[in-house]
Amino acid sequence: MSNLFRFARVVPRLTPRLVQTPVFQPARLTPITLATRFYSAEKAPLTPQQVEDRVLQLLRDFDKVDASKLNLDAHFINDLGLDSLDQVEITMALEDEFNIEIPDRDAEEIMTPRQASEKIFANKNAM
Amino acid sequence: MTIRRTGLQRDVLDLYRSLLRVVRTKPESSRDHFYKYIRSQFRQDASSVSQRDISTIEFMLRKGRRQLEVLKSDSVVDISPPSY
Repeated sequence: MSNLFRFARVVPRLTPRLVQTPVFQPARLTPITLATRFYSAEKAPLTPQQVEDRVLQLLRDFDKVDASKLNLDAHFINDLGLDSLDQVEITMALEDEFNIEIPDRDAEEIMTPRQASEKIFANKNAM
Repeated sequence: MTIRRTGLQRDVLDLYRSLLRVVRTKPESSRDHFYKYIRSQFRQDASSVSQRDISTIEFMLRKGRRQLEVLKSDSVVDISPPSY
């Protein structure tokens, strides 16, 4: 029993030390790492074109979408043959892709890639 | 944009969305299991019931909402994926 307790005390002592390690690292940063940080700080805002491209790419990767029928104004249900459950999955995937949250009532109105792109572009948090 | 959805349809889709949102809180390694499970349950139930069979759909909805509450618990970290 006492052995067990000794082990349990070791773990919390180790954890803070592990967490602290990254704190010391900036001093040892290589130029390459610095360049990466600089780049991310200067990241340009999304352009409508970029948003559209990424939306279309995401749909192309969706297993049920026929890529040959895909265009900006293709209606998910009428043109692409998807159903309402697929539409929910697509809007959830868009949230993941652009790191945003689309309110339910907004999400259910998204029926074409163009509508999706407009909603995402209007969201200032999209990245 | 006209949305020709009944309240019941909306309830089902909202439940689906809530379930998928819960999956995001689960460990990355098991998310795919949850995702497959939820997806297949909805597909299975949707194909086994008529759109007009409102009482059955309402029963399924209640069942799904109870499952949502269970899945929300932090102690649920994985699920066995459906065997097709």
